[in-house]
Amino acid sequence: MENRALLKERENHILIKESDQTQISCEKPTLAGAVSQRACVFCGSRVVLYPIADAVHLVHGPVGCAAYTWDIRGSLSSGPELHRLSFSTDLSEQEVIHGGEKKLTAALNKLITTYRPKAAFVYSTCIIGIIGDDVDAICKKISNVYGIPVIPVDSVGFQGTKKDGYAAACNALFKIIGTEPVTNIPVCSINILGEFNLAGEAWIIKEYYQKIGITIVSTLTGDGRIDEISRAHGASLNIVQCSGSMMQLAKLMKEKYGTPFLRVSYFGIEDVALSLYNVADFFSDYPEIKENAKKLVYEEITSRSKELDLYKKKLAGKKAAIYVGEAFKAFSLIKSLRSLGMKVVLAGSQTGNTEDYETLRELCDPGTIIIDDANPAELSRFIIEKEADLFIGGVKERPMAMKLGIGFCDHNHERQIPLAGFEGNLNFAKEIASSLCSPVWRFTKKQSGGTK
Amino acid sequence: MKDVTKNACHLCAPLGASLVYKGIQNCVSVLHGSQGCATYIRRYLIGHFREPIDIASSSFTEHTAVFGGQENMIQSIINVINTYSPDVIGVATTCLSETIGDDISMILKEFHKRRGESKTPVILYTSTPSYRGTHVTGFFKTLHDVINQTAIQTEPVDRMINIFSGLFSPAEIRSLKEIAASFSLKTILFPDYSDTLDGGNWNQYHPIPPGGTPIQIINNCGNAQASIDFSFCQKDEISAGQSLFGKFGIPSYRTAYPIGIELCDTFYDTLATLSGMEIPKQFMRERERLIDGYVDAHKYLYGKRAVVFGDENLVFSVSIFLAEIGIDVVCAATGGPKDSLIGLKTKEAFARTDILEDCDYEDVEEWVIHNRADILVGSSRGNKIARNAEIPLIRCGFPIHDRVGAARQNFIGYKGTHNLFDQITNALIEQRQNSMSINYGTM
Ligand code: SF4
Ligand code: SF4
Repeated sequence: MENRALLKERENHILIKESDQTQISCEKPTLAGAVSQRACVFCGSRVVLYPIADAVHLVHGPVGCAAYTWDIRGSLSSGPELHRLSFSTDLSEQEVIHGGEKKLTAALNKLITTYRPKAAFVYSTCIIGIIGDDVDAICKKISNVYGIPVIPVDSVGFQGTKKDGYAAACNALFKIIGTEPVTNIPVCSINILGEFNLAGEAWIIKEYYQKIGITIVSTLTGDGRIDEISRAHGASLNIVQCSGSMMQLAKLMKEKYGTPFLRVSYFGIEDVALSLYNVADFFSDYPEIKENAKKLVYEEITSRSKELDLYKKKLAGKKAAIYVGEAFKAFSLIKSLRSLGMKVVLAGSQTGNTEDYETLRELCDPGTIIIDDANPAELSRFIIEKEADLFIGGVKERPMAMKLGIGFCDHNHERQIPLAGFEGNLNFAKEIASSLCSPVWRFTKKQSGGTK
Repeated sequence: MKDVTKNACHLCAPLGASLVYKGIQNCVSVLHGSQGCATYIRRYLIGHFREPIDIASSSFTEHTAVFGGQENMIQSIINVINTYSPDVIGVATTCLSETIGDDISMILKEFHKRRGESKTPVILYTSTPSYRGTHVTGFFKTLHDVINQTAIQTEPVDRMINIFSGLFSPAEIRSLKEIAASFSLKTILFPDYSDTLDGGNWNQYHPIPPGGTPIQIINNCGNAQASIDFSFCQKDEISAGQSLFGKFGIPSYRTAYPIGIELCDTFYDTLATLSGMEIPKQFMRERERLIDGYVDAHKYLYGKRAVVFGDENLVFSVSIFLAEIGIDVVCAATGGPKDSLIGLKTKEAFARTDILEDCDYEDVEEWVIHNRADILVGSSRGNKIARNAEIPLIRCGFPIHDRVGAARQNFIGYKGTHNLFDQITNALIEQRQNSMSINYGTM
């Protein structure tokens, strides 16, 4: 297909399953002027660390970076809620010229004495990368004064992409892990990595594990607590969901503490069940875990199958477009949409790597468009061309889809309805149906046949 | 200066710039800096307007930050031209590009040189580092810069005025245009994002949503007889009206957002003066109805304690309106700069009001915890404060992220004021009704 991207430099970031044999181009800096849906390094760090609820998160720089990320994520906490506050050093022009170190010190003193947090994270944003404040030194000093971890997060916006922000967050977490002694941790114990407790999803997952006889040492980072994280190295196994963001931490822990890891996903019946079984298999010395898992899966599925069937009938044959931050989610979504009888016509991500896109290619039906770091113009064009009925993405994509007269399901970090686990799978079907089956589409005009 | 800003009550300057550029027909904005700023600003605006909003970024990398942003800027302009074929590109700087000292006018010169004869859109630019201003000052600064860069004087046009808008909703912009038209005035209203940010469902794909003031019409601002300029609480140097006065001698009427009888009177009187017409009957009827409404409901309102927060211009006008109906404005707060509410400070009616400038939502929350308030008026960010204090929040201004219809809210003019008045009154009545032990069916 000629000219499928509007910009020449974007051509290789898009491929069509079957007709294109070449490898997709990915993991590149965003093309200037392309209106990428990506944010920045800081965004990557912030989303990973944000759910830690008993730490203060101080954004060092001018006000915007903190203001835009104030409480925009549905990560729930069962206790403290410090993470829902937005703290900024809000640098003024004078401080940009003369350095922000004084302000940073004052801000940390103020925050720590006011809120008595268990730790503080200091995020460096773009301006800090230019003016060169010695954030590390200040953090060390403050940490000594108050006796809590004060951890610099190297998240300067222009120094890479969201992915580098994940890495910075993993490094920050790695500094906390191992700082508390580990006694009394049972053998059948895990850390849950890459689960952010959106709409309480971590609680659903934790319950499954507890039911089958596995102890959770820490969740990174959903409903996260510093002291749990400090003991994370005591777990026997790391299970990694959002691999794009947390794989690095799993690897670091394996290196230093020898903790093995498993990749999992909690979206869609198939993947949830598989994840539970794989974890159970890991603890094969304790066969009752596998037995429990089987029982749990059976009960969870059968208790909902009738209701799920109702939705399946409504959704069969509909076409979906998926654009997500992390590629892992697209894998699960494709499978779970398929299990609902739906078809995926476009699948893309902001930050997938070559391996991710190969997996996507294997999973997708022929003709599916696979896209890396897309922009609204491309997405709109393919929605129309592929005659999608539904778009699954985040707030930024919502109005675009709706203007084009197609349904929408929010699967991003702002969602308030849990979509993980077995109950999440049912919610997911409900969510899609509540958009696709609405009578309002009668009044809109769905477009087809390309944009030109 | 405070040590740390908690839950900021202002956003950053390029957001204001992007909003102004949305008011130009067939225009795309490019923020000169890192990708994150543009994406966050898009997301924030989309949450409020619920419309597609594309904002490009010159997407700085490490290399750009060290060697300067020229090549990225040029590439982003070219890519925007190739993707959107816009008539206008609006460039705004961010903290980053300002700090490394990029000179946009030089970069644009270089761009035009390289571009040669190829068809090129009009390129406007503004400097909006956030360490120097808020989204509100960024809005007015951009408005000022656009007018400064585009307005030309050729032949003055009879009965034509400029309306330099404020941070109004699309519905309010529509209503301003209608009001001006009723005075048989030709109006250039800028920025007009009443369609671009509140459009219909599409029958066909639009790379750039339809609507906005065409650039040729903005050029014509230099030929108006007068400007009505809503940058009331802003400094003179970012007032577009002031700039046209300085350049072409066009008189400028700095006007407060027309909310409440007193401020609306000023606005309608100005239109009457400029048009040489009497205020049309329909508005006088609206005014009479509004006064009648005030009277009907005054007992529900007298002595109630309100906290108002947000954009300084809105806080100013809403406070004056509330005082007018017997509500005590006990606290008026803005994230705007020091002295942006000086207009309230000098008024007798606010002698006992706590006026907070350059404040954040934590300051407002603290205030509410330590003092008593009956009602909050401001953005949806006050939601947490209202919920904890168990008092109603009347959502107005920007952002409104937790309700639909932000774009359709109209609180200006006599009619719009009546709308706001009813919402406030009913919220107070509901509060009282719910707190009573007896279920009264009449209130
Ligand atoms: S404050 Fe400055 S650096 Fe931060 S988002 Fe706004 S423009 Fe970008
Ligand atoms: S200033 Fe940098 S760190 Fe902050 S939002 Fe913009 S790109 Fe991200």
